[in-house]
Amino acid sequence: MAEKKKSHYISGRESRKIARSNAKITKALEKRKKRKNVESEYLTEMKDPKNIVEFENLNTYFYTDTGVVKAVNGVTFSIPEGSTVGVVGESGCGKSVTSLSLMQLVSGPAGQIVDGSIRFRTKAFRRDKKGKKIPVYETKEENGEQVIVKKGKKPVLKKDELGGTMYEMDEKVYDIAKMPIEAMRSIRGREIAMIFQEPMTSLNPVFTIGNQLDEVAFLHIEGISKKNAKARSIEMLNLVGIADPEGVYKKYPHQLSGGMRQRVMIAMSLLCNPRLIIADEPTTALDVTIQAQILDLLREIKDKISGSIMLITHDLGVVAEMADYVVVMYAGKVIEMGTAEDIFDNPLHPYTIGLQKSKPTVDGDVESLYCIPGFVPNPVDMPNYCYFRDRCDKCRMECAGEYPHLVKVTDTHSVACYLYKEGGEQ
Amino acid sequence: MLKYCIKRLLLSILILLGVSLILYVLVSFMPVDYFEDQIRNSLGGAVENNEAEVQAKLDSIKAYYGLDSNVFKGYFNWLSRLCKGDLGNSFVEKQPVEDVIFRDMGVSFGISLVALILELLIAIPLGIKCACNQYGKLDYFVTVLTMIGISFPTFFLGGIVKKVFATDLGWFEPIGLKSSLPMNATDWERFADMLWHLVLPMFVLVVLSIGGWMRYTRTNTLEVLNADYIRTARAKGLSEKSVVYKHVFRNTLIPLVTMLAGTLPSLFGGAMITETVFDLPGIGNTAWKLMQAGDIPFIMGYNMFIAVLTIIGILLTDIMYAVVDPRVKLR
Amino acid sequence: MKDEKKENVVEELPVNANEKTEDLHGENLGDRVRVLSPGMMVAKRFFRSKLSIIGLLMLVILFVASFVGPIFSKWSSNGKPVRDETSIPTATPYKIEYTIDGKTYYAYDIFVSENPAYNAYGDIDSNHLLGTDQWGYDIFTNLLIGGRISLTIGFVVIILETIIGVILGGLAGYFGGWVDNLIMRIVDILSCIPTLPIMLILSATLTANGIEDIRRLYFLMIILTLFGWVGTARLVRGQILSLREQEFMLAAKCSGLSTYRKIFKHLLPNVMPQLIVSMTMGLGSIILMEATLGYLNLGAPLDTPTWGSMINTASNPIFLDLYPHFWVPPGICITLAILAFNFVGDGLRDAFDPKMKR
Repeated sequence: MAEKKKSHYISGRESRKIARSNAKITKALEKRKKRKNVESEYLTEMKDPKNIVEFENLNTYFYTDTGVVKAVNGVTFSIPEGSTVGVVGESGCGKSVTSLSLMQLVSGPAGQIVDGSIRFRTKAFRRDKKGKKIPVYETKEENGEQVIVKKGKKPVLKKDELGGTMYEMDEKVYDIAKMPIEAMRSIRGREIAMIFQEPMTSLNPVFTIGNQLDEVAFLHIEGISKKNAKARSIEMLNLVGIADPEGVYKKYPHQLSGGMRQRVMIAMSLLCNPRLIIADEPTTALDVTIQAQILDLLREIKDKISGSIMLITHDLGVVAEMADYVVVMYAGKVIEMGTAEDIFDNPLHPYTIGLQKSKPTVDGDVESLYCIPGFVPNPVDMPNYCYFRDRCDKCRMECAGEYPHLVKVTDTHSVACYLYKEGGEQ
Repeated sequence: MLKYCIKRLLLSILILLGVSLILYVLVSFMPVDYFEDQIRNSLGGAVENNEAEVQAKLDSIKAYYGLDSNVFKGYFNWLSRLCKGDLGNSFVEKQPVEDVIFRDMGVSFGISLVALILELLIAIPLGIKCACNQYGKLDYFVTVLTMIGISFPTFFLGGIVKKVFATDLGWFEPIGLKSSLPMNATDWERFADMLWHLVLPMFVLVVLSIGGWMRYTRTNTLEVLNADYIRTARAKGLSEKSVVYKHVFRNTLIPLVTMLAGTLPSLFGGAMITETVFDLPGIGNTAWKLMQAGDIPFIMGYNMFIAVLTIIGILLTDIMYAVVDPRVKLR
Repeated sequence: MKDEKKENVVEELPVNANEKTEDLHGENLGDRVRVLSPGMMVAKRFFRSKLSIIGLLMLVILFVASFVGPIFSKWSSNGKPVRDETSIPTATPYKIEYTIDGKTYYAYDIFVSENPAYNAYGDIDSNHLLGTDQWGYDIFTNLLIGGRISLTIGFVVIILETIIGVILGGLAGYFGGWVDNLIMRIVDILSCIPTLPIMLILSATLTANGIEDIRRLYFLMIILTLFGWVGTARLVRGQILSLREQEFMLAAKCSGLSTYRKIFKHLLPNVMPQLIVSMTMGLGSIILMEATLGYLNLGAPLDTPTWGSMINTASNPIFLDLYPHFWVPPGICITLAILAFNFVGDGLRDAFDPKMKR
């Protein structure tokens, strides 16, 4: 073992073994994703009814040529309803993969959700015995009773303000990690919407903005007319602060600037009033003034639609400005989480402390910016001790032991480090 | 836009001038006794009696092509006649070169067009399917088949098909476009007869070029499938089918359509080898025969015709880019 | 599922409790990470595809057979075919055409010669694995020798093409301006000249000048090269144009490297992958071109066996119908060679291009 470790290259036999086991595992998992849709298989209950999403022991692996990359390795945290949760970490720490897992968008066959559960509270269609959606009918009061309005013999369908057919809905909790892709489709875009990091390439270059916006409405609002879909799209463009929504509606993505495109992406995510918006580094590719505008916009919008936001970023400033709760990730694990005050006023994990120190301040009298030594380890074949051990300046004897569990220091604040014990600092 | 067009046009003329000069010089390398032989052969019969005629013809050819004087002088001579729209008379067919070309072009175009449509109808859906299941069973199977198709030399596949299906099994006709039908045959019968003759050449044409289209579709689809906006489309909740057939396909179409525009003009030029193997009365076959006969006016005319088609193909490709891709503007 | 997952859990690091903390820093997490070397990565991706392996095997077999095979054949000496001069009565076929009621019929008749000078149209037996051709040469041996010549032509032409293409394409791409304009116009002109007709003209010129022997092969190679370098030049120019704009070239410029070093150490290695792929695919198309010329009776002289000149027999309806063993074996060899080059080229492209990996 010791000698093998010296070599940085994998031998031919090893790589063949890896390829074979990868093919076997990914094939089985892909099949599971494409299986028939049976609701009872993924119906679960929330641990805390105040939450809208609960990740529990989520494991998302990439089966690559060099071995299994545990991009997300036992992540557990939750997103309370109506709050903004910031997920921070260096690039490659698994924060994007966590969010993609929530959408089941991890690019297969290499990337797979292997274990764990993602519980999501959703409005699901109530279905009759044949599995059909039950529509809502127009009712009126007659002799003190609710009676279905009929036109001839047919009952009249109730329409929402956009002219879409309404169906009876139930509050249900689904385990997204176990859902087949087919069932996942009605959640994507309708209940959870996603804003991607790269506004320049995230819009299809050959369709107009309007076309791409309307598509979402047509997909999730059944029976909506073309006119209403357009009205809705333009309303959304207006909402995200685009000055000339009618004009932008007709434009192609390449005719817009990066900031505008990101606004369009946000408008697209808002179309169906989602409960959760995942913003995956929404401001990274934009310049600073636009960044601030987009963040303001996100904050405004969260209040308007009364949903939650999962904000993924490596920028501590952005998190400080936006988030109610903060989750700090490192090499596929959650190392510290708590409310924004907990993390910013009282960071516990040496990594979080390091991150704080490496943030530039104007009034500070620091000579040079702090820099955490070393690099994020490549997560292939990770050992089972604290991954930050080699870079940590507070490393102790226990740190050679197995990976530390998350301990609750206060009610809201947990950290995974041997320096701390349950209920307070050691 | 106008500036762009003029620039391209001037460039095309420059290229055509270069092509014609090279062609002319090469043709002038063909030694005169070679023509003499060819003329004797083409006149046939009792050559001794025709000695005067042969000499006269030879002189006229030499004069026409300036072979009796400086190559460049001859070239400008030829060029000035070309500017007046005179390509000269084919001396085997004894009619103007352009007439020969336009006479036989129709058959070639019809055959190539039908073959192209068949190819596209099979290749594009197959290519997309393969890309969506990369390294799957279907992908392997189709890849192997199309690779074999690409690798077959035309004449070899043609020979085998002819031997097996025409000579041995007798299902189809080996050569030509029509068999001698009774005088009272209906139009429908004549048409069916023609189709019958075309089955084998079509088969060869389709098998040979379907692989190229399939590979091209597959590669481009794979590229698009990895794009960010495809992830966005999935995140909207679109089904895999609409992701592929709306978002992916529309983007794959850009390179496909431009390539198609590039091949369209070449449909007129004829498939020389296939037409020769099956002895179809198309321009390719005629060109092959006349070139063997050393029919210089035709050689010049036909090659210039092909060069013009190629240039139109390149132009069409650029124009189609601007038409299909909203991002591209012609400069 | 669960069991498979456990396989991937790495065994825990043995920890000595008495170890000092400082020692723990000795082994860096990075040291545990092992990756594929770049060469191996390409090799691995190449060999992952069964098709590339099949293609490679086919090539090896074809090469060994063509370059070593003739030595062991009794119908060849010094790489030249030897005629079977045993006198066996031969039947030479000829075609008869007759017309009845305006319909034309064909039939074949044979002409029997009792004491010919050589064993033409010989049967397939242990002496001649694929029989003999119309001049009494052993077809199987001809196939092997022909392979040697066809493959050699392919290699010589592709190497010449690549050299010219890289130099001219590189000049055009690197220097731009009028150099680029001049070279690219030449490329445009050459690519507008239809290849096959030009070959016909040139071949007729060669015939007329009495070049019918082995020199014809050299001319053939030169002609193929002259019209073949255009594609390589385009490819190299395109690559260099896009590479030139990249930051690493700016860095090279800033470090004051010489033009020579910039081109040969920084630009060319980046073009190599595409070049190798296009060379592999190009080999197939040159062999095809040679065969086509042979079929049209314009290629190598008929007494020099190449796959192309052997398949020429298929253009004669008598041989096409009555003697399939004259033209099917070389046809299969040509197809297999092109197929093998295509398989290998395709495999290489996938292997070199990390983007294609999903």
